[in-house]
Amino acid sequence: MTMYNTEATKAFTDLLAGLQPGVIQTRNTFSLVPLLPTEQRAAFDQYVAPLEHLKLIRVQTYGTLILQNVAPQGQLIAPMHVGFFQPGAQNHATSRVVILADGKQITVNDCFCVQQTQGGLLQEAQQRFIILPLGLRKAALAKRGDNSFSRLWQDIDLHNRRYGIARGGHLERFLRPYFPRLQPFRHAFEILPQQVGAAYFIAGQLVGIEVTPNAAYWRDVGPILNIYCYGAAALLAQRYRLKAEEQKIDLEGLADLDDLAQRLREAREWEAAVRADLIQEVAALPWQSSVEDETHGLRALYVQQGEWVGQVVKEKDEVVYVSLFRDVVVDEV
Amino acid sequence: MDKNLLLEYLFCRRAPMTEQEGAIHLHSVLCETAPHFYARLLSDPVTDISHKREILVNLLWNPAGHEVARQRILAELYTLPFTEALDVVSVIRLQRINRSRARALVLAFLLGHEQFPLLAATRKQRVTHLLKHALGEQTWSAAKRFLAHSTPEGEAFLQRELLRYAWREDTTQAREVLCFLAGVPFKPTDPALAKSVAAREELEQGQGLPLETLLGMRGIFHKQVPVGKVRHLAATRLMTRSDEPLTALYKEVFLEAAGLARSAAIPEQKASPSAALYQAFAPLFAASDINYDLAGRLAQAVEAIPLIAGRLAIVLDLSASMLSSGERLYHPAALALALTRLLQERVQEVILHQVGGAMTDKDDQLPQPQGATDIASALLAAARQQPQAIVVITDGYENVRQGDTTQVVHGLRLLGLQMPIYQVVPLFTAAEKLTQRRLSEEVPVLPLAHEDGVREVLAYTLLAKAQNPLTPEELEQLQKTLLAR
Repeated sequence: MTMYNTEATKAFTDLLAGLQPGVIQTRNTFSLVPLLPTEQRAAFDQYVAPLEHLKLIRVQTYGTLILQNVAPQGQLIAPMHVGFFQPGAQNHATSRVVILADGKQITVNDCFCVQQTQGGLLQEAQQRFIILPLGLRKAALAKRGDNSFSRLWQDIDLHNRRYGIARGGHLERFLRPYFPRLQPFRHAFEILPQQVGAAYFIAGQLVGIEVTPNAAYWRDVGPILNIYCYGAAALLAQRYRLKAEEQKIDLEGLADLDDLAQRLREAREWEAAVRADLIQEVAALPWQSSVEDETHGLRALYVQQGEWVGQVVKEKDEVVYVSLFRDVVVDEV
Repeated sequence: MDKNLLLEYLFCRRAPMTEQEGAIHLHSVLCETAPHFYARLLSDPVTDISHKREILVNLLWNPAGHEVARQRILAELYTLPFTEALDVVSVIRLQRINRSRARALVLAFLLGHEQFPLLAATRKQRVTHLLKHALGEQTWSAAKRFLAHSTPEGEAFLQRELLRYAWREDTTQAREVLCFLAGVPFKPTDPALAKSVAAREELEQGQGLPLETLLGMRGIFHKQVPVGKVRHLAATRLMTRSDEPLTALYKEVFLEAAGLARSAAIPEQKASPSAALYQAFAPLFAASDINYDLAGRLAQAVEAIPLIAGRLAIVLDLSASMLSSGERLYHPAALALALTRLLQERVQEVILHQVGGAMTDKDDQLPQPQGATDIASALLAAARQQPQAIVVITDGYENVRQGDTTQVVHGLRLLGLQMPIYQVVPLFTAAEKLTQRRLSEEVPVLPLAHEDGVREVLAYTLLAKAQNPLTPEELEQLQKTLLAR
């Protein structure tokens, strides 16, 4: 029996030091490059995964969430723009990375309400935590540190209208009808065993780089990013009829099976090299950064360069968590 | 029998005939070429009803179809669930087929059906219309008259026209059903008929009848009864999903390896929304001990499937998406492994190429689904070994890279490698949409929801090896592979 599961090995530097690309995975206009740790990267096993350990204790007031790391041991980095859909209260999302020590509760008062009025909860099967769609994240990050719970409604309204959804600051009005088209992204992209992050491409444009502390953390967050954050952007790209450049294999004058295998390999290697270069370019950008939180031996930084924005969490000088993104560029017709 | 015609039919039979150009001609040719084999296709469980109706029409109309005896057609119809069989036979009325062969078939089918009383009690209008069509207005009127007022001439008439078809010559029961259909007063002894009669007086008495039957009665006799109450009274269709032996075994092993067996996989609150999940998993854990009796379950699964000579390459996708999630957890991987194992058991030579999946260090443990889906490379390697056919068992989420398989298949064809390539998709429900999960336009998709579907893959393997035209022996083997149960 023969097995197939090849992986590229070129390591990145700068902001993505300690990481190397896996094999590109593609679905229509959406593709991603898995990020795998090199031997040089620390294991970061002390950071617990969010699905099991991050609990929304309650919504204290509109825009203020009480979160808890329920793990008896291990710090938790609550991912940026994590959204909660819960019965009995309006849906909320965070505006930034939040760091929680083991067993500790924290009151986060700069969250967004993502449901302008009551009603319209997602169905039970869709209730889980989400990450805000890519189209909202730039605005959400820019509006961190503010207490007005309604400040994202206008952006949600604008976001939803791009998808042909009725007006209003209701994120669930986008999620509910689009969920059947978002869900296949869960299965279309596969988590590799050691994977800790991914670089996301929509219609050939590099639009996001996400890195988490460890593989267990990524197994929780990866599918959610695929579905709700970048999947939503992929649907918008389809709506605007954006197309990724197709990497066709040249079949002209094909000699034999060895020749076909060689051409397939070359086409893949060429695409992998191009994508890796694009990721490395972003990693090596001269990022402007400012420390926004310093707690439990971790520093949360806001980073920005050109159209790219995001947050990075560092343990001393080592990067533990990265979330960088930019909007998909749509040429106006 | 032309091999390509048969292949064309096998590919198109799952979809309605209206979606296929040339399907009527295809049926006609199949009937003329091998009428007895053609009649057997009536009992194929995966065939769309429109094709089954066309088969019946051809067997009645086409002169070649007359070679097939009425008893043979009835035997095939009786293998179908009775409501499906009624749907098929109803084509005779819908297409106004009046010849004596059709008339005799309808009467023999209805009155000779073991479940004639149940059929009448739950589908009264359709059965009556069909009966009336077969007999003609005048004969049916005469029958109603003789049922209401018994005379020696009338009894002779009823015997000649109707009662001679009665199941096991039980004319008493047949007469009772006919009285019910004709609206003649009678004292029902059959429980289904009694319930149906009582429900006409008081809808609550019909508790347990099918929803559509009760809704029909509500529309005529009980318009004031709320629809919600009718739904409450109707027979509940329990979710009785149960996996076949090998699939169940593989699922057990996966679940146990993941630490989900018993405690976590079976929710304690049966009344919660998880009840359906409990129902789905309960049969797997009914035995006090999970035993890995692979040989026993394999023998059970392959019983009655003939051995196929040939060389088959399997590309088995065990990437992470084959895990699936929720109530489908492990189903695609378990069914894919079951199909692979059955093919290994029933095809003379099988070459296996695995995509993704982590190998364990123990020989007796299953590879865990993980990793990306590089179908194209595995397909290329499979093609190198010159098999007679290649089967790619995958959920269709090709992502390294999406589209590479299309191009590799195209490349293989350019190189003159014409071996058939099939994509087998292990499904949880037959309703899953596969339009976005097709590997290539040049690769036919075989959606299989049960391991019994291995018969179909074996049939294609047999056809790939067979010469054209098929010999009677090959046709016989194909029939046993595809249709024998």
